[in-house]
Amino acid sequence: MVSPVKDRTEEIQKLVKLGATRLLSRAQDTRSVKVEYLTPRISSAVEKYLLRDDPSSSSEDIGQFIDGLQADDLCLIIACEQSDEKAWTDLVERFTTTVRSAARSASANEDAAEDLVQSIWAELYGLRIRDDGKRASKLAYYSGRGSLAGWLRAVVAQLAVDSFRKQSRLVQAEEDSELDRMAQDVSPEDGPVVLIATTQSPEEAITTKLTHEHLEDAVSRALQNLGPDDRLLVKLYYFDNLRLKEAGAVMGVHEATASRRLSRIHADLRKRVSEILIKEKGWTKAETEQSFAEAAQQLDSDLGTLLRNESVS
Amino acid sequence: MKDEIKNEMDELLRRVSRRNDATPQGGDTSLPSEHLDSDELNTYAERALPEKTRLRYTEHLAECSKCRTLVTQLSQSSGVERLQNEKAQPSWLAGFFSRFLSPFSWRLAFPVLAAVGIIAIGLIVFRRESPRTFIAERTNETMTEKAQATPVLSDGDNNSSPQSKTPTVSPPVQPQVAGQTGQHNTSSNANVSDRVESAASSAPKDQPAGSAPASASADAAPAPVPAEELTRINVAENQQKLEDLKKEKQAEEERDKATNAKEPPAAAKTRNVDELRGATSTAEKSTSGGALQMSPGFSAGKRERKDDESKNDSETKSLAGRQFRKRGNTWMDTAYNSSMTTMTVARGSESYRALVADEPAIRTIADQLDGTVVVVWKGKAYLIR
Repeated sequence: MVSPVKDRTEEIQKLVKLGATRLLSRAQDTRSVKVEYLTPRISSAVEKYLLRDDPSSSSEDIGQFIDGLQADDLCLIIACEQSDEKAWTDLVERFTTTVRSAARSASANEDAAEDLVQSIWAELYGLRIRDDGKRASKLAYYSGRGSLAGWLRAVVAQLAVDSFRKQSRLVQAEEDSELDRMAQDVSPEDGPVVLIATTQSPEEAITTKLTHEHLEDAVSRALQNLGPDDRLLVKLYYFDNLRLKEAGAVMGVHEATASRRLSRIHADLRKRVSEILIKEKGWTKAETEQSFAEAAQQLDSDLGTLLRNESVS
Repeated sequence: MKDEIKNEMDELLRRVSRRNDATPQGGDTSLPSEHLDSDELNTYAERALPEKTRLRYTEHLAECSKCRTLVTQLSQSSGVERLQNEKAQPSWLAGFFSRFLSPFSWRLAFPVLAAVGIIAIGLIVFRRESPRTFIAERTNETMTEKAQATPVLSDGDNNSSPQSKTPTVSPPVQPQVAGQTGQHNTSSNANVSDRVESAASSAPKDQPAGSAPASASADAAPAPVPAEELTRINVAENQQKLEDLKKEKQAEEERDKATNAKEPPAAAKTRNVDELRGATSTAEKSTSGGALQMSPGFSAGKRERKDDESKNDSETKSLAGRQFRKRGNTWMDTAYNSSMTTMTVARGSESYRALVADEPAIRTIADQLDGTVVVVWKGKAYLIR
């Protein structure tokens, strides 16, 4: 008796093979890529982007997914992996501008950008040799689901972030030692340094601090309970300081949709925060409302200060 | 209320964001074990993922500031690329409208539209003139013969002003001599003899411009007179004859009115007048046959002539005390109006015989007028076919 899993695997392999044949038939230039070179790549993409999150995907879903792959880009990359010289020449000619442009926008200066470009091509070509004797090229990670240009930009951006973090770790270590020296230079005769000036009494200050902490904790928890899309929007807008238009672009929605969604999130969050404060922190409804009102006043005063500063400058 | 909630939550969320900025995770409550790879980042940014997979990555992005930053960068650059692609390859409809509505197109379109307009006007004028030209060409020869066959009347009244007497006679238009005879075309007081002179002076295109105008008299014309010139000469003669006949007709009509008697000769003369008028107008058409190169005063003259022609086209007869006017193939009783009850009778039919038995005058009318006849008799209209 054939198990359902095995039955499904065979069915998927069959669908992948058929899909690979269709892909080659719609490619303008197959670069002599054969079906057997394509099927492992397609099979991997189907598993990664479709079956992992939806194992019960129908045959139509799998077929549609394969038909959505970038036929020419995939053939080009596989031909490059097969050490096709013409394919390499075409890849470099077609995407030099894209890679250079992405490197420039990710680098601080032209030299750094040029270094990054060279690194990218080296990574793509694969300088290391794997155990199976093949080069360890980044090209193996291209699934064909997105555009090749977009994928190259992502590779550049990721490499730039990684190299920046390496550099910033070095800089951070230097800054830390500098701060230590500065701290030691401060003599005890200078007297205590008053960092915060406040008119509140110590009791009031503690109460205010606790109130703020409770409120912010409640907001953080309420945020965690939002759906992934809503949470991502809040993060993009409030944490990453993107504009609504930019946040909408990341999420694939229009600015107006993002704005409406944010208004709904505000109402939803307020309700959740109130519930957390009343049920878990023991606040009264009046106290909750007062805290919200104070927060709004704080925003008004912040805006007022901002406007005054702008008008002075 | 909505604004209040917005302000409250705005401030609280910014406060949380500021607090989280100070943490090593940079605002992320939990660090994901694995970051998204380049392909995942790109497929997310290009929105090329199935919905469920996208949701999993959204979950990650909501917690991972590093991947979020990369996806934000890629979304913006892919958005730029999309825009560039859209600019490079616009949809057919958008491309058509953008091209059509572009200022550059309109800058070119105005002169083109102006040129098309001028051509269209030219074609309309040409088309309106063409039938006249063809008719003139076709009738030119026959009308010339007709005019020659008509007895030439004396030139005694040549000095009188025919236009004052026969305002319906259209002024001739001579495009080829427009420059020479411009005053004739524009002057409303130009008399027929002047026009005859100008008509006679109009020569074929290959004739030298300074050649002496041909005489109005046929005798004075050079021996090899072209048919067109003969026609023009005959036009003048016909017009003169027309004036004489018209005078006679008017006198006879006055007599008719006084005596209320039947005068077949007068009717015959009237017919002659009408025939002559028709011949004259057609001959005039023939002289203006080449009227494609118009003089400025042409349109006004053309309108006048058209009115005159429509009048001249209809013949009039007076039979059994009734006046008939020919319209096409139908002789219409002038007393007929459309509100009358009309009885249709076919010639030779039983009802026709019964009718003419009762009213013999109708038989007289029907016998003398061929084609369809509409007779008003004793307050009733009869259509005889």
